[in-house]
Amino acid sequence: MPPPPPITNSIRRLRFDHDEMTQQQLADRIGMTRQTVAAIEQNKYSPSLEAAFRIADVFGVGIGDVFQWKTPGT
Amino acid sequence: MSMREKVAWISTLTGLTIFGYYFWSVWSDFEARLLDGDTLFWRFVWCLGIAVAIMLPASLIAAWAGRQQFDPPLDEMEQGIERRSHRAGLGILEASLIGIILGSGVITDMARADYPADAAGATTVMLVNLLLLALAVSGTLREIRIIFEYRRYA
Repeated sequence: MPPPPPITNSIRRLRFDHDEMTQQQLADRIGMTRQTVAAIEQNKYSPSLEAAFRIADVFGVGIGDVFQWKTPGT
Repeated sequence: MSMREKVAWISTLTGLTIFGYYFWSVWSDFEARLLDGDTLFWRFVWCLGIAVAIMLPASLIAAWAGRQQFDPPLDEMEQGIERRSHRAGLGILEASLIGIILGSGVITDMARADYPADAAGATTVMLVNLLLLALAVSGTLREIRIIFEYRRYA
């Protein structure tokens, strides 16, 4: 199994800040399953660029506020 | 659990049970040198019918119980899982087919030794069942890989 990509995300916090949006509600808004949203949130799956933009759009923030590249050594 | 994973579990368990029985019966007939194409054909048709009769309602019940769509469109992660699983299943199927073709000479020799009255017919029965086994094994391993991948992301 390949190592997970060095990407972190703030989806859990953003969901909490948006009226405690559930994973299912977010999944419905971006056209994915709850399982996929859970996998993205836990950094087990890296979404496509389009899906990443969709997620950022739901929260009304930039893509960099949702996903962060974890530079090795930091 | 997503609907696709539920379907994979249902297919795997049903396939292993029903087709496990079928191929075990073929092996028993082979060992007893009692291979009969007509009997095996109808046994296979019955097994296939029973498998469909179990899998379809089980999937419908699973969708109803989980308040899910029966055949929902796959999202990008699920498409990736399907793609990798199908590729692995196809690889196993291709390797099995090559193995069967390379082993066809041995099968013909066995048929000539055990069924001298109808060696060609016995060869056909054995080859057809080996092809069915290759299809069943590759299909089951594909579904097992789907389950494995969903569990990996869970």
